[in-house]
Amino acid sequence: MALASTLSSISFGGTTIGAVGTATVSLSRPALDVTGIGATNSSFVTGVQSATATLDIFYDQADTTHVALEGNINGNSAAASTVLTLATGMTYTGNATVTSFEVTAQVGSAVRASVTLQFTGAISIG
Amino acid sequence: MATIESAVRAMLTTGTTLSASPYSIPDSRITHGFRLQDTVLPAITFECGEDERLSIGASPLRQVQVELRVIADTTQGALDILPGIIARAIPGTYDTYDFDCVTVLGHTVDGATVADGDENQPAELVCNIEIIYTE
Repeated sequence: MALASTLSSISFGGTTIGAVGTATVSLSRPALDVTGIGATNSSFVTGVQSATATLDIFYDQADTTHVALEGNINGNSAAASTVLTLATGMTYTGNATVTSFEVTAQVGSAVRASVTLQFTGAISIG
Repeated sequence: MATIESAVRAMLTTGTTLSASPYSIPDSRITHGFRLQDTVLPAITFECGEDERLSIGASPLRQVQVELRVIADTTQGALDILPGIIARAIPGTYDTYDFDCVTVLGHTVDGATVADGDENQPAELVCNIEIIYTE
């Protein structure tokens, strides 16, 4: 069953972020190469999981939720609870800090910001 | 009930920017879609393109492209109206819709054709505007 993004939202520090065009949560667990000398096939063990979230927002400094995100990186603040909700009861939850905040003003286009959050610790799914 | 079309018209007719001198286009000559052939010039018509959703969530940002047409007796007459349109293409609340970002993308002018009878054609300026708004 497909989900409509009208049901989706992302919150940071308990506050839903406004004007989010795209929200992405990325989980990764690198494969560690443990192939021995003389082996004819590669062998891997699983590494340590990490997760990031990226947001594309229509940036507006009058939006306090945008200011809070920007303040997290500018003020070197602690990780805050970050929840991506796809639909009711379908969530990714963890603690994250903002690691990059890139604002772009382009001719003929609305001002946008690209935000990256780095999760620390475990991610809870569902 | 408010619609994006009624909100765009409200943006254009707010205050007296277009109705007062030097533009002198009364609100009755700003219409959606078309104008009656025998009405006085200059006049403005507009059409809204496809309404797109820009953001996630239950109350998303929306984007629409509006095509404004200024019809005037002469090319210069149509061009003279353009500053008035640009002056009115500004963010604000119109007919309950919040226009967050209004961008004038550009314009083209189709000159007047002087000929006999039905072949006589007024000048037409087309101005495209992009509006990002919330209901």
